[in-house]
Amino acid sequence: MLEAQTDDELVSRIGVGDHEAFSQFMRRHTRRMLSLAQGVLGNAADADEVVQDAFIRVWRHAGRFDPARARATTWLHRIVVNLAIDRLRRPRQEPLDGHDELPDEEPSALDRMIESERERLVASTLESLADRQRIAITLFHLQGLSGRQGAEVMGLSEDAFESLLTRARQSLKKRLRDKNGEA
Amino acid sequence: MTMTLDRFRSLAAAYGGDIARWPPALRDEGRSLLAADPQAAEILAAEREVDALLDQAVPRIDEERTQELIARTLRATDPRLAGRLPARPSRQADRARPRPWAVIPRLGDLARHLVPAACLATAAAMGIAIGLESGLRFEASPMREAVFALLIEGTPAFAGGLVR
Repeated sequence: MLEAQTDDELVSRIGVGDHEAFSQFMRRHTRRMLSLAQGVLGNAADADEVVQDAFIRVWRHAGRFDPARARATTWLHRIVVNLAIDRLRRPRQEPLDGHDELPDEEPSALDRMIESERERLVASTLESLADRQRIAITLFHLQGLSGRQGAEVMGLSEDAFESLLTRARQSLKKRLRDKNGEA
Repeated sequence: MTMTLDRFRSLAAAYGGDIARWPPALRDEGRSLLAADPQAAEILAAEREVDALLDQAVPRIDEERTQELIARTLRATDPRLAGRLPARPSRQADRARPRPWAVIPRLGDLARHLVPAACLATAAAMGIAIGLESGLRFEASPMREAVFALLIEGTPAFAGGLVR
């Protein structure tokens, strides 16, 4: 029964303390929110904490959610992005988990290494972008949100979001070219 | 209104080489320009390379990690588990508990301790009085008087303890 409910309906039920609805909402969105948080933070451990905090906020504050102002998923994206921004403002620590581990060096894994190296290059280039540019890229390209949804999550006009995306992609291209030049 | 090549380029620079991802209101004009101008196709091809790189940057999130986080968060928010926590009872819950002696709170505590002593003293005094009334010989001695005085007067219950 809960599977058939829309996100807005689930959040409405969560608002009156329906833990089953909360469980359903989490099953639907956790993986995607982890991807969003990790795209913004570049760190799996921080992403886990941010996403857990975000869902706990949903549980506590769903009663205040107003579907007339935003869709539930936009609200959830906004919570995750805001918590990720808070996290970015803290002093950064070197990740201790496997996110930055070297790939398997067995010869049979050569293709995987090349692919992995390319991914690492793009990921590190994304990490070097300004926070707002990286968030815009993550929302639009990595999360697949529309320009309008991305703008809503970031609290911007669609035009401002478009400008931010343009600057982000230009910056990304330039940095990738520079890195290729260095190599 | 017809889209210019400059506008086409700026849209591709922002939203990438797939017109289906552009704002819905601009897609048809974009496709028309693509069909009419070969430069438009070149612009899209260049932006698709960037899109392909970005596709590789999507973080891979495994199922085990996802399920672990869901379970952890559900435990942290489960109202049934919260109810089982060995928390100190709230003042409200404490007030709700029935307490027969709490009608007059301070006096109730005092009375709880004094009633057994009062019963014992009354029984002893009545026994002595009955003995005296029934003509039993009772030789006075300082010790007996002291015990009698203690039983009759020294017991707080008889000295006004219950109403003090």
